[in-house]
Amino acid sequence: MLLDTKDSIMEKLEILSDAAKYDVACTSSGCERAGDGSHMGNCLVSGVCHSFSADGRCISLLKILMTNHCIFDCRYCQNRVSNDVRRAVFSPEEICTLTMEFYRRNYIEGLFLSSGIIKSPSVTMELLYETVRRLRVVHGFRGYIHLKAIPGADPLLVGKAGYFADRMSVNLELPTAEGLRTLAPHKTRKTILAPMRQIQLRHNQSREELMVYRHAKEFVPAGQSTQMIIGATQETDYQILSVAENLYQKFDLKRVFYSAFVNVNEKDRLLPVTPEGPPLWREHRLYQADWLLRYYHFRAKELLDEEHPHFNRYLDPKCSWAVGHLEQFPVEMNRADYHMLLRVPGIGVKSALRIVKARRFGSVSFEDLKKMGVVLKRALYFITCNGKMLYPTRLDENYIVRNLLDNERKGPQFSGEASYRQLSLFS
Amino acid sequence: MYALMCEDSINGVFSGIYEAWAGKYNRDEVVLRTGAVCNFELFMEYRQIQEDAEAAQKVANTLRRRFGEETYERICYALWSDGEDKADAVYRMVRYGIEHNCGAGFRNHLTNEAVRRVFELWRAAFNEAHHYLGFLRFSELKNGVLCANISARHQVLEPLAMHFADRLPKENWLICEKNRGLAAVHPAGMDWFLTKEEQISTLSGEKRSTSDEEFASMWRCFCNSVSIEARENLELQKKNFPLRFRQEVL
Ligand code: SF4
Repeated sequence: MLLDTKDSIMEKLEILSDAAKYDVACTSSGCERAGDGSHMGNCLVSGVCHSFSADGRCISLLKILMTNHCIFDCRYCQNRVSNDVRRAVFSPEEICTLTMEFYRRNYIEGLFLSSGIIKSPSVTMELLYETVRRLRVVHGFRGYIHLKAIPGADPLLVGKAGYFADRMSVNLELPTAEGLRTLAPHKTRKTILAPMRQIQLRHNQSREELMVYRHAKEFVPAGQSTQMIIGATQETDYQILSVAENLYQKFDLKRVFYSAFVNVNEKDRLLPVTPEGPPLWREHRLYQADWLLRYYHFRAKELLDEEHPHFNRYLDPKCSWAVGHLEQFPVEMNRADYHMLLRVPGIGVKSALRIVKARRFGSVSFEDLKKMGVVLKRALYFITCNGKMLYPTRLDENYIVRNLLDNERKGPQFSGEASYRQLSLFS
Repeated sequence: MYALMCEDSINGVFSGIYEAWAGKYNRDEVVLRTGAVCNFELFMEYRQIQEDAEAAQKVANTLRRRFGEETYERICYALWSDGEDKADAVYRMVRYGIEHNCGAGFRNHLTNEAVRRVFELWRAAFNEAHHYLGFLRFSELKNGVLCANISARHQVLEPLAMHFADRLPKENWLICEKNRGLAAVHPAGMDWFLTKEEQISTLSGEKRSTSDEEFASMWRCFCNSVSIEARENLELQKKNFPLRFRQEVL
């Protein structure tokens, strides 16, 4: 295979950032590391956004492929071997130069490095490993590194690479094994889950070592994440959310990312046609539900079930749940426990915490709630302060839904054909 | 009533708090102000408070000891904000904390008016500083110095300088704040300091290095190509990315 060393670094960057853009993970969060007084870089646990691209997503890391050469033929991917596209390869040193120079100008928080499969999974992983090793050891870089583990690569290489990365990820690609079989014939559940398990075990082990021995090296301190493509295969939202819940519970994943399917190989008859463009609203609902799983103590089966396997297009999952469980409302702000506060639409994790803390020193009023960040125009149907509601409202499903929808429609999110009568809300 | 007129800095306001506590006044009859007096109020006596580093240090130590680092940091950010009432809000919050013998958690007593005001001021200044952590851009000058310009509402130079001193310890860099004509200067391997911008005009007048233009255009190329056309959403971009930052970033 021809290694295109003649391309300028600019041309390579254009090709290899374009090829990496369908990987949606962009965060630089989850890892706190102070500077050491001599080398370049530190990490902030909250992550930092450095720009926003024209699709509205945050740019935080230099997100590139090492190469878009690939011997695999995943149907949904523009880099697949059967496509005739311009190909390029970065050398490890080129990647280091770009990362260091971008970082010192404060363009980025760090590097997100993935790759097509060049020659074999192990050869690819070896090159990825060499790149991050060089960046850390030769250039002394202390910023954030997110590295892909290549399914099917020698576990030894994955094990070594994790000591130089802050986060690693193996993409699940498609929610079910059948999906994988049809659309990613070179990948299997097994080759994907094996490195995921390895990273999980090694990460937990290194945490234990750290407790005993302060200078033990940490293995992927920011944990691991994964990504699924939404809408390329037939899975329901309920199936997808249950897979995510499983991954959080059984593999200790930090994040599951969802990527609305963008059809880049339109002639492929195995891929669905998407005349309305990528299913962005579905992706949006999945992210909302994902937050409910991770921070709001919801279970997948509370939000959806076999009979109602899809999200409501017009109402977010938390509101949907609340209007379906009106018997649990209204909630008294001066008494309800933290767990119940979290279930009220319009109350987020931060404001729930603030409410719990503030009411130790006096009773909270609607005015206080507003100052604490509660979105009253959503919450008002579900709460009381000292026994009183903000306005006299009816605790009635249709009434509340109509008012909530009025709010949502005024927002910029989804325009178009949404008339409230057309909705089959709980069907 | 007495208005203690403090200098607009952390040390300035802390000096004012020290003065208010020194026993010369009835604490109920004191308000703290920063900046110049615009409207003289009837029955108000104005006292100019000189910044006193030693007194300020004592106040800082007390606040840290009694209320912990996080509350102390919140007070600092509030004093970096552009709130006109910030000095008095901090004074009243500190008074409340000390008189009620509060511990570290009292920054969350949001039902108290002063605590809540400091909370609002902290959030405004902190958010702007956090935006700049990402949106500030250094360009490299011919002499290798990294130079950034910002025009901030709040006094975010100090928190930014602390952040970049930790991140880029072996670089020569400076951040110029246009609205106040101040700059934070960091010579490689040394401590940073604040100075008037005009005193370093020779430095920032220097031309950009040639490689800097190349990296800047590679960065622009990268930002364009990572966007997915099928998902283009300029509304969302605008919402996430306020125009006033965008001009400085690209
Ligand atoms: S392995 Fe599959 S998804 Fe990854 S670059 Fe190759 S073809 Fe694309």
